[in-house]
Amino acid sequence: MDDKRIIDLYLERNEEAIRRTKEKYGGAIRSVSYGILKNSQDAEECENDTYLGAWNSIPPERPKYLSAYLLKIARNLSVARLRGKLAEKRGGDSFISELEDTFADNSEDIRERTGNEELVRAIDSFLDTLKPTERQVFVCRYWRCDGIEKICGLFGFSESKVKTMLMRTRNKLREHLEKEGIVI
Amino acid sequence: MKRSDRIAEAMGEIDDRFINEVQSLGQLPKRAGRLRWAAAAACICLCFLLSVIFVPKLLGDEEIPDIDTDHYKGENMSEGNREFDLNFDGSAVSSGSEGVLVEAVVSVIQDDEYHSYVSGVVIESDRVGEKIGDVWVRTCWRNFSLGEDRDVTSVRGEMYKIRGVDEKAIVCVKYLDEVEWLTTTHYYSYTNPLISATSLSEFFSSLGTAEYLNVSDTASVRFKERGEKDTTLVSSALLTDSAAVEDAFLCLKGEARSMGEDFKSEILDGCDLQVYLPLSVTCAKSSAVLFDNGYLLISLGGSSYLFDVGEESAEGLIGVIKDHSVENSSGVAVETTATVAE
Repeated sequence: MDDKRIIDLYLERNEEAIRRTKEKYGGAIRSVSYGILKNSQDAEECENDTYLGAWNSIPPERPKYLSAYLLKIARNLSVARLRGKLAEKRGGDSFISELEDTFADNSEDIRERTGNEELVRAIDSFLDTLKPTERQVFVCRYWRCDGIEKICGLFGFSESKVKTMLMRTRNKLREHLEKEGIVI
Repeated sequence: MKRSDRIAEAMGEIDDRFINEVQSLGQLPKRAGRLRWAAAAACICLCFLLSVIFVPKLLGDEEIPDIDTDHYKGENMSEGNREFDLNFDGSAVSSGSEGVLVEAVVSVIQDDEYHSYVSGVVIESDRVGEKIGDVWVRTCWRNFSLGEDRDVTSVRGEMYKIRGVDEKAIVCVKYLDEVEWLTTTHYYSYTNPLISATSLSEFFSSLGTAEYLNVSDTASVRFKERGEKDTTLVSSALLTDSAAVEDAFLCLKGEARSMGEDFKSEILDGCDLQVYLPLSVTCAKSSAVLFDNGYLLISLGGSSYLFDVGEESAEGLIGVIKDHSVENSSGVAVETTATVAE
């Protein structure tokens, strides 16, 4: 069934929408959740929460790309769950700890923080400036939260190349945000 | 909230196109499905091959701009088979030279509406019409013998209409991100094998070829019948009234069908007679193969299209062809071959 028809089912409040969504995108949703949480049970719960999230948000939302819309919900639910887990047990080799290294909290910065929408816009414009491969590696790591090993396999790069590429891109992002006057 | 958490949260809201770009990565075919893939790949390969050869002619482009056309790495790659043909034993038949396509670039537009379009050739910029929108295109090298993709990447592109051609039939894309095997300076055509048309006349019109279509009365029509023990018999006839046949042909109504993995067996199942009708579209050699169980396979310019026209309509057209043709003077079965299926 095509995405347009599935969205119509949501708009009609037809529960068949969830079955069709699961049928078409269940695998991708589980894959994103599992990639972040590394736990089948947690991933399954996030998958179900994703269907609920879609059911509750369409309507009023009418996504242009259903797959991206669903995966965003799954990703954000999974990251929220991961944060809760990390709060219990801080540390570990997660993508968040890498971001902490680059975007360390600066207690001297007392400027008002930039709004979230503006921050997202700035990140979007930054991603547009990257070469396709750089951008894909960055999004795989910090959106889809893929492990370094998986990224190496996807692109055929060595671990050191991926880590170096990510570090450079994080630094570029920090510089881009500073240049744009974004306060985070 | 910590700065790193804010970045992580903001990353979750990035534009959908970046998400679509990475979601197409890593979806390589499974080795277990090699046979299934081989069949599908063969179809893609054929459409691709035909596109490369014919689309410029179909669109009236005699001159193709200079371009590095190093799109192929197949060791035995040659021009390929110009007629799409099916034997009753299910094997593809060739006429003329053909080669084995080992590896080729496969590009897929990441937009549901255009996802099934088959990537084709470069067309001249003066054929390009108004812009349809921005798209992401997943492109890679596909090894057809191994059923594997490599160098999978996504590039941004601008999609345009082609003048005089319905966008539901063919569109073209200009890439914005350069990769080794695609340029950012040319326009690449994408043809739709699942074209929507209520009649063959509408189908040809949408391709911008209606005025050029001609059923030649100098060429022979070939009839292929299923014989005993799966033998194949071929006879031929000359049309006496090509206009009447063309009219009946253009009146056919049907639904475009996907040439998926089982299309050969689906077409051949229950079919007793195949009729080969030569078509002329400007300078492109094209053909239509009509199956008496209701399928019509058109090899036209850039691509191959399969239509389900219904048994009754197919038999009706076969009747018209028979009524308006005479057997070749050298006999009923001027050309007879016998191929025993394994």
